[in-house]
Amino acid sequence: MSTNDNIIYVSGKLSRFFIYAILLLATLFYLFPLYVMLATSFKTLDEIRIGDMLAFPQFFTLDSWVNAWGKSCIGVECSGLKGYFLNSIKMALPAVLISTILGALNGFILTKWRFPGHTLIFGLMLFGCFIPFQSILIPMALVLGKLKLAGGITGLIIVHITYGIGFTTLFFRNYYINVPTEILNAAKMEGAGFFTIFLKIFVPASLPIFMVSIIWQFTNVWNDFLFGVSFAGGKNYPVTVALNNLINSTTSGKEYNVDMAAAIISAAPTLLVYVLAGKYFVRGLLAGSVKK
Amino acid sequence: MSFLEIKQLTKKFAKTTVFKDINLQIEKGEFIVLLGPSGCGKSTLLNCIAGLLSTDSGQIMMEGEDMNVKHPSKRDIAMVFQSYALYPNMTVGKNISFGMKVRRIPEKTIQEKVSQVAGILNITELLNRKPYQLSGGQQQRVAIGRALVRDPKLFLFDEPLSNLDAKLRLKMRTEIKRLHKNLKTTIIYVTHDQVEAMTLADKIAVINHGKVMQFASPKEIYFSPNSAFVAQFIGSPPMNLIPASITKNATHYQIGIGNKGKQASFSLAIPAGNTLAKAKHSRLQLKNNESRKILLGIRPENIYLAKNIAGSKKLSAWKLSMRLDFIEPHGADNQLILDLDGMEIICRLHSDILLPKTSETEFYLDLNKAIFYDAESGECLS
Ligand SMILES: Nc1ncnc2c1ncn2[C@@H]1O[C@H](COP(=O)(O)OP(=O)(O)OP(=O)(O)O)[C@@H](O)[C@H]1O
Ligand SMILES: [Mg+2]
Repeated sequence: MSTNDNIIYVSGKLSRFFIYAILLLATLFYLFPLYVMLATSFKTLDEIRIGDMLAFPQFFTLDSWVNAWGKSCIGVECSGLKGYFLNSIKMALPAVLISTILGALNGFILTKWRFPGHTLIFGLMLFGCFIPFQSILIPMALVLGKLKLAGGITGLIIVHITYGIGFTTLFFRNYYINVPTEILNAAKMEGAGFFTIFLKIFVPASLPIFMVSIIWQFTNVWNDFLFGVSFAGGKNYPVTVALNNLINSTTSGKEYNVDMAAAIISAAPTLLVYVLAGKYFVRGLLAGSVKK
Repeated sequence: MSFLEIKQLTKKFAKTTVFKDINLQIEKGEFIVLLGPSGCGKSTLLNCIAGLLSTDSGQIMMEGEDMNVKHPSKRDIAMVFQSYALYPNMTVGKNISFGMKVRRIPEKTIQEKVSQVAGILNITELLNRKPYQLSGGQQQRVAIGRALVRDPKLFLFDEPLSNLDAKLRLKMRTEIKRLHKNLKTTIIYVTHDQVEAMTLADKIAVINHGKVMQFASPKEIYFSPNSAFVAQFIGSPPMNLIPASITKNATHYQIGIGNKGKQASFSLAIPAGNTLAKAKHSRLQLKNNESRKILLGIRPENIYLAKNIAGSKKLSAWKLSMRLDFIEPHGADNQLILDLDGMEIICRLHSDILLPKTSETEFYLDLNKAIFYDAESGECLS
């Protein structure tokens, strides 16, 4: 008996060891590019040219960060990413919030305030999620042109809201479908109207899915390149497009350290959102799948 | 015109008809209990009255007003849902006060009402908790509280005490009865619990398969159930329904009991001149020498030990020998499970009565209390 127990104990320890070893390797593997980016961004150009890509920076410098943020040339303009970074914020905040709020309203209506044809509407919205970006570029450009919104941030916001509604509606619909309709009925009988019920009962009950929707939308809107390059122009480009232009418009050879710093700056907000709110994302996705 | 009139009401879900042509007339201030097996349509009926479900045909009139066009919020009805339906992100206190806030009742009145109702329902310590931090019974009391703070024209209670323990249930039952006595608000109350139904109701509606089988006072429902279904649904233990056949002779009625219609040795003659026979005569509609299959309904408390019966009762009673299978003691009384030619018969005797020792024992059935039902339709023939 006791020898058996020992074997299990030992093999338990051994398999633990392997699990951790594999996890550690996987983590290192995934962190490796980030390390290279960070290390490179703190090196001087000279060190990059002669040195080993994997080596730790010898002369630690923030110059490339300062350049990427405010000095590097993008096209003819030499004021770094900061203006474009601000563009992205101006674009992402309204786009994310509005599409999330509309999604919540849609989800509420499609599950609890049904009207004839609600399945068809939902079907069409779902269909919208699967339309490839490329196929709507020209019609969308025409529409924006007609609305006199081409080339600006407002137009871009509208595009992102339109594209996001399908997903946010899907999230909220699937969440609200699990909220018992009796709750709505009880509130109705107490005299509460549509918006009271939505704001006082359903919104507070759906914070996890709000997190999911916000994280999802923020990542998509912030990281978008295609819509940005197609529908915005000149000074209105989002940071993703600016990053591309910055990297491509270097005149005197590649400044890898600046490129790396610029890339990290562009990616920082989405990384931050994941670090801060990632656990809500997982929780929200799981909510409803397990009965409480 | 009654306070609430339900006329020819029909409700279907896609292909299933939950109820068809239901009629109910409810007077102002009455305490109505809906009683019926699971799935018979009680909750659906409440939801239709509340306006939460659309109906397919028929009318619901409240105080002479057609409710079909009236939004649930305008009907002035408070409902306790079978599933409680508490607002998940609000504390107990907020759950109870939500409706009053919506109706813009002054904060002071709200506080008073909440603490008063919380006192009645024993949930004062729970006011700051969220619903998920409550047990089923506590949630149920919060749901009741949410309805009680209102002063509606009509209360709808869907099994409001189903999740409480016996003691609390008794207490809440009394509270609800007291509430009704004080407020005199009309109440429609769904329950599975017969004691609740008998003790609370002014009138009970027994529902089966979406039909109102009988709508009458608890006394009438108990003592003269109008169909075999009601007879067997009300009472615990239920009424014994013994398959029998009844034949009219020139001078008397002959009742024979037997399995599968086969005449057995048990039989009884009721002289045709007997009052009982007269009373049963008209509905039976038998010609001479004609016979009919019936169910003889007799409540367990109307079966006695033969040796304890004397005098006048003997005249109308019917002596039978049955085998005693076993005895279930229930405290105040004992229930004897008897075997009559393979049929199970239940007899209820006061616990003071000395129980028979032999397994084959003589019993008397008090035929004055017996009710005849048609063997096929279950229709009452008495
Ligand atoms: N939304 C629905 N769609 C289809 N059928 C339904 C729906 N709601 C209820 N039913 C059916 O209608 C019938 C009546 O249901 P209801 O909930 O009124 O029963 P009940 O008498 O309240 O039962 P219980 O005592 O178990 O609560 C049941 O057969 C049920 O399956
Ligand atoms: Mg029910």
